[in-house]
Amino acid sequence: MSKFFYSFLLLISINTSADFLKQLETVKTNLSNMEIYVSSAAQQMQIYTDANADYAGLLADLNGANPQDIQRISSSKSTGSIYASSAPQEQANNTEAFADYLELIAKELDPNNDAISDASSNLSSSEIYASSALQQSAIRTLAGYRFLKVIVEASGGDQEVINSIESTRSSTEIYSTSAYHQNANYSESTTKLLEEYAKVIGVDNEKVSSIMSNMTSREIFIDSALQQVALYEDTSSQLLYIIIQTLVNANTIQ
Amino acid sequence: MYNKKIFNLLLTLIFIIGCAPKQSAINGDVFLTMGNGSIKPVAGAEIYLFPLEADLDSSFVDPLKLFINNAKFNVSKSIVQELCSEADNEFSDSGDFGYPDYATDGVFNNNIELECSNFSNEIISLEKLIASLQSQADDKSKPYSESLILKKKEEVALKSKLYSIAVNEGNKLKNEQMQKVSYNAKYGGITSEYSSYTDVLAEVINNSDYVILSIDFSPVKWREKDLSFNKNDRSADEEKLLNLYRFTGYYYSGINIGPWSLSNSYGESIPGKEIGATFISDLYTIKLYDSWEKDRWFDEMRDEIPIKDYRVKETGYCESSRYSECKTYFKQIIHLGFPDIVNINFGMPIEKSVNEDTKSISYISEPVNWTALGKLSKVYKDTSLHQDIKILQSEIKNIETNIDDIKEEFNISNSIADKAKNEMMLDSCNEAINMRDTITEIQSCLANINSPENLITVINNSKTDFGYEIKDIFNSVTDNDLGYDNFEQLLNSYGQSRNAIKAVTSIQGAYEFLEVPNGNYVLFTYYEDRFNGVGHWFEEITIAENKKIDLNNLNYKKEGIYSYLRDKIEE
Repeated sequence: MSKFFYSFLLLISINTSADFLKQLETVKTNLSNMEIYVSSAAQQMQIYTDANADYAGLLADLNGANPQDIQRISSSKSTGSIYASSAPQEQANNTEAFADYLELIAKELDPNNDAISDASSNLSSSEIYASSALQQSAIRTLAGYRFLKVIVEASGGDQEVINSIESTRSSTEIYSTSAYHQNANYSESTTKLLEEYAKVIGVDNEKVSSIMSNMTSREIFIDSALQQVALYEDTSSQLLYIIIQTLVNANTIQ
Repeated sequence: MYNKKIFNLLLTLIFIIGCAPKQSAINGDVFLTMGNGSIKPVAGAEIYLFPLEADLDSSFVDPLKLFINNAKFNVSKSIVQELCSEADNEFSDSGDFGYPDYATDGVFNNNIELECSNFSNEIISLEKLIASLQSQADDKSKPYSESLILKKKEEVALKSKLYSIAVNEGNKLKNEQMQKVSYNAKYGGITSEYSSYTDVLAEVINNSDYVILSIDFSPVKWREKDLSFNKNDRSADEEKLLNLYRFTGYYYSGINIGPWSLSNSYGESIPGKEIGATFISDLYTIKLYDSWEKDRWFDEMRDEIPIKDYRVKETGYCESSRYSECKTYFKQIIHLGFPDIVNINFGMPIEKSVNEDTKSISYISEPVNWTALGKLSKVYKDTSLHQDIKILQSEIKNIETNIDDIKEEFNISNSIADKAKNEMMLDSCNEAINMRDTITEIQSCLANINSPENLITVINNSKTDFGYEIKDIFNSVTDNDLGYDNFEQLLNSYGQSRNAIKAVTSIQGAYEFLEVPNGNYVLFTYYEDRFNGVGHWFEEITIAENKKIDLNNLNYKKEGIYSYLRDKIEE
């Protein structure tokens, strides 16, 4: 037989642990670089929600979501970013991508859960009434929270803890008098759900506690809803980083 | 008698049992330890035990090569057969191959190779002759050639000088236009007393004769030095000052305004700022202060930071309201002066073109070509360089004519024409060979279409275009065409074709092969997931007795089996 006949190329190419970790570090480095430049809570919200959306995209990839769906959300986020002309608009664009990514993960883990379609249709109907970027951001963060709740439940999160977070969120809702307050309430609930998710997937408890106690100690010095959102998004960002790191580690051959 | 029969039967049984090949059982667990220490059993994996009659190469790799090639051959076979049949029909129908110099009545002459060789030899000797004549001509024309090189260099230098004049004159014209543009910078107002920032505004009046497409500004200065746009070029002090000075905006990537593109009421886009236009643009935003935060660096550097009181007027709603008067507030700013204009990109007066179908109008302002305008200047037109270049070009032409005359003396052009003629005939001769061999190969192709070995030999020895075409068909077959997602799947299929023994791991990753004839084997399986990609186990083992062989991290290869076997397969 002729030698020209033997070539047999392996065409399959998939993301592996090394790629995931590289992407994870890229998001973190970008965030660290941006942190130097921002000087206001509005800008902080923008950069943390940006990083969180990227982390959520990575998490969707880790959970086996369809790469084409991930790519669609990613390019829609980039396009939205080009047209956004203010920090709140950027934030709304980021929270939209965040919710979309989480929806993909929720559908992967528990495809027939009605809560997913409920959250999705709730978001679509609320979008019609949102008249500002901040309101958009709030309803999208709420949708993200609802998808995350499905994810944490499907991953075996403590139902009591989840119920407690949900009940705090809905009782605080009554006192939320502005989109800022709503944003703060939803971001806080999302952070707490992420804390539970981190515990469920086996993130080192000490690391989670350290991140959360850092948040609690910084909370004391905060005097506006805007600063609150920035703090919660920052904490979520740290949790997402450590969650992804743990997930990759737990699935990487020694 | 009866006892003797029983005795013989027992003896035969003992002999049969004694001569039967010995068998053993192989079992083990397939598992992987993950980065966090958890053990992951590899469940449902197909494990193959390939018998090795001799060594790995002859018992495993060579049959694998054959397997791959047969698979590829089967995919390509129908296309190749169709191609060969079509070509055969074409030649049979026409009955004439052309090439009358090399074939008579559809039969090619026996001496084509010799004829081609004669043309080839003639070309070689003509090449030698041309080289020799060229060398003699070069020697004779050397003084002219050397002079030609110098003159051409001189011509390039003069043209470069002339171009510089055009550029300089163009720049002068541009500077004159830039002087005509009026520019004034100032700080903006605020919408409420709580505003902590205001804009740096550029007020521009386009008094030039062109459209302004965009304007570039210089950085502001601190300590008599530019506060660079590039973060890497700024000192730590400059960085701190910039953070106190700037609120937000475009300072980091340089300051410029434009290009503009305004739409009229028809939605038609009009570029730039037209001649006579007056406009105000934001450059960037600076911070306003009611008081200064206690900061060690700030206090230490206080003398060097140019702080200025700023009386700022309220803007916005109050400007149009009859009831709410615009107030004046007192703030402090860091005053670093204003950016200067460093460049204006001018455009030609706007030209309109009408779309006859829709009647819509396109407005275009082409960037001004200052060099082209410089060429219209009096200085450019009056320079003696034009005449100098003309004289030089005439001299160059004369020298070239002299060189051509010398070449003519040596008759080089005739030899070159002879060579071209021989090359043409050689091409035609080679084409005849190609045609002759193609016809033979088509017949071999059809005769051997069911014999991969023979057909590949024919293709391998082929030097015709047709042979390469068939070769490309085989080479274009990929793993996807074979119907496998990856090489591991192909190997599993290979295992089945070779009657390898297969086991499937349990949910706990356990496997077992019972009654395996003792001997040498390859134990193969693979593992794939989205985190780790594809990896494999490929163990050469000798079975002489019951054995437990675990497949785990110790013998796991973190790459696909193809990369492991590649060298052997492609050897």
